[in-house]
Amino acid sequence: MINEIALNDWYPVAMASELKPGCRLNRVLMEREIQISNDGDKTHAFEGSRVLPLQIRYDHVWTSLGAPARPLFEIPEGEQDGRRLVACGRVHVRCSPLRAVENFLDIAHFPYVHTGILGAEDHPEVERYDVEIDDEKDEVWARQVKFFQPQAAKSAEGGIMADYMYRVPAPTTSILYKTCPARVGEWDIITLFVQPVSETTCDVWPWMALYDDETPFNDLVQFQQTIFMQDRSILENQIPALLPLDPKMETPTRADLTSIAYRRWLKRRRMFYGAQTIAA
Amino acid sequence: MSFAKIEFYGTFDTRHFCDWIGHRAHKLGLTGRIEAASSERITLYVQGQEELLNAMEVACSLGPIDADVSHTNLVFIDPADASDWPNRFQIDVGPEVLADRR
Amino acid sequence: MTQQSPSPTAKPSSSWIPVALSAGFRPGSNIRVFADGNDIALWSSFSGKLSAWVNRCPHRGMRLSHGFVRGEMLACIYHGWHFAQDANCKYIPAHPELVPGEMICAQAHHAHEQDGLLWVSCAEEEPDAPARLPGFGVRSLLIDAPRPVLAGVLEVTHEAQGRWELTLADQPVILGVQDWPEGRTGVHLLTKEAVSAETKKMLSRELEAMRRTCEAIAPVSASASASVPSGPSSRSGDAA
Ligand code: FES
Ligand SMILES: [Fe+2]
Repeated sequence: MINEIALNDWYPVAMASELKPGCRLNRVLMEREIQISNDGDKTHAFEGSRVLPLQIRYDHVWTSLGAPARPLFEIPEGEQDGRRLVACGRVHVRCSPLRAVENFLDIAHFPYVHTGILGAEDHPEVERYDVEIDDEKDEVWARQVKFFQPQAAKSAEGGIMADYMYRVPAPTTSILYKTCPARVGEWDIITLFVQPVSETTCDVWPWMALYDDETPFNDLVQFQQTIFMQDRSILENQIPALLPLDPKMETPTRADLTSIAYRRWLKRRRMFYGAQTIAA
Repeated sequence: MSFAKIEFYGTFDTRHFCDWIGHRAHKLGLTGRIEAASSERITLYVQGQEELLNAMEVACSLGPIDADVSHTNLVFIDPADASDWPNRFQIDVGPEVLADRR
Repeated sequence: MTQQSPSPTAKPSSSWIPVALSAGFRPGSNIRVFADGNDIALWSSFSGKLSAWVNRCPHRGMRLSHGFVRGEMLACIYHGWHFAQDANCKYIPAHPELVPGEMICAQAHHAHEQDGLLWVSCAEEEPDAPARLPGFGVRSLLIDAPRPVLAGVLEVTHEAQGRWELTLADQPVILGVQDWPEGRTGVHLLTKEAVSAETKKMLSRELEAMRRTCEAIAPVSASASASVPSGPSSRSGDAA
């Protein structure tokens, strides 16, 4: 069931670079078929003959099946001068859109799922970090997150203690702020835009805004794709398929604080598309 | 062994939440006592390994589906002040909550 | 493997289901199997102890059949929680100091090795061992057709406890039969006597031909096959 809350939000459905004049893209958003077309100077979104709201931002095309209750979130860092903007394309995943976001917020899996890249098995410990649900902005934040990384990014060599922040500005979007190896004091940002195709399938559009003028574009995309392929094998094998909002069978610990805060926030704002609302 | 007082604030069906907390405490192998004051606050006195007490706070910050936990507060307690704590889990529900029970 | 002592309270031994061939299931193996519709992680420790667990990590629900064996423990691939033979969690890497309690555990079914087959039972009490019927493993296959289709195609001369006896290419053979979801069937082929590699190869081809016949009768939709990522044919491989 698609409730109003899910219906009235903005979702990514294409990369801006896909909008060639005369193009017509068929997409599925929350089980409904929609079309994106470009007539040479303008882009339109339709569901059948119904015109849908549309905007192009952060190198992606955003639309909504309902009447968006609030404007699309701001990512100020993404519009700063001097950053490389990298749209990584689309990855189809057979998992709940909410599970894709939850996994992106998780650091404890780095040593086992991204072994040798984002984590190492001899450094699995998760130190205490801060999590906050910002009621005013209606966002989830995790700060002071630290984790050992053997290779923190494409441009990093050797192991470092990487610093992160996580921000969830919308139920299907997560932004990661990460120590920038090339520029001390700045954060690279890696964002996961998730298009809910159904409650148990989604298309994921990773997007990065980095201070990195060296690494070839293809290498940056390749790096992100490698990471995401590793995550996909996890996401498609979690039980149950829907994200439990009353996880009686699960055993969260302090390391899962971000995941739990995210679920608490979903429950509070009644975002149930892709969620399980009975004890499981 | 560590001792902690954990408070949960929010809006919940206190009786249901207390049972849920008892279930979670059992799962984590913790012992202690719940004092349920009202439908807006639950206080938990609990003992076990420090990281399990943290896990207890994390799990209960989400709670059952019908609970809206707005915030939690965990304070560790000096073991000397906890010498008379029970070694099983016990739920003390206040009269106000019992009256609440429909 | 499992110690057997027939007890009067045990449920009938028919509740054992053959889920894999012993040959080829080396110490350190971990595969996904089904028994009575239950999704199960079947794994063998480095010392060869066999376990069958509910295929769901108690931490955050990852399928344990994707995990890896470390000595006598199974580790979940997601966050590396380690579970010992008794199914109790012994190590949570994110919190290395923590000694998890006994209530933090995987859920175990019964596992048993006998007659060239690995068996699982989801019965509450461990059933009596299946009747003796020695066999020599040839090959496992996952077939996109339900059990009755196989029964119709094959001339089964005797059937007991999930094992069919029949003649395949003039060889007396045993077929362990295991139901998979979505109308599929896992089969585990054994010979009654030790045979040459040549004969095994020939039997393996016969089994493939049998699969084609069955699948032509009962085609399974593409979406149904896509939702079961790995079967005995791909995970446990061919028996030596
Ligand atoms: S889901 Fe298995 S260790 Fe986290
Ligand atoms: Fe990951």
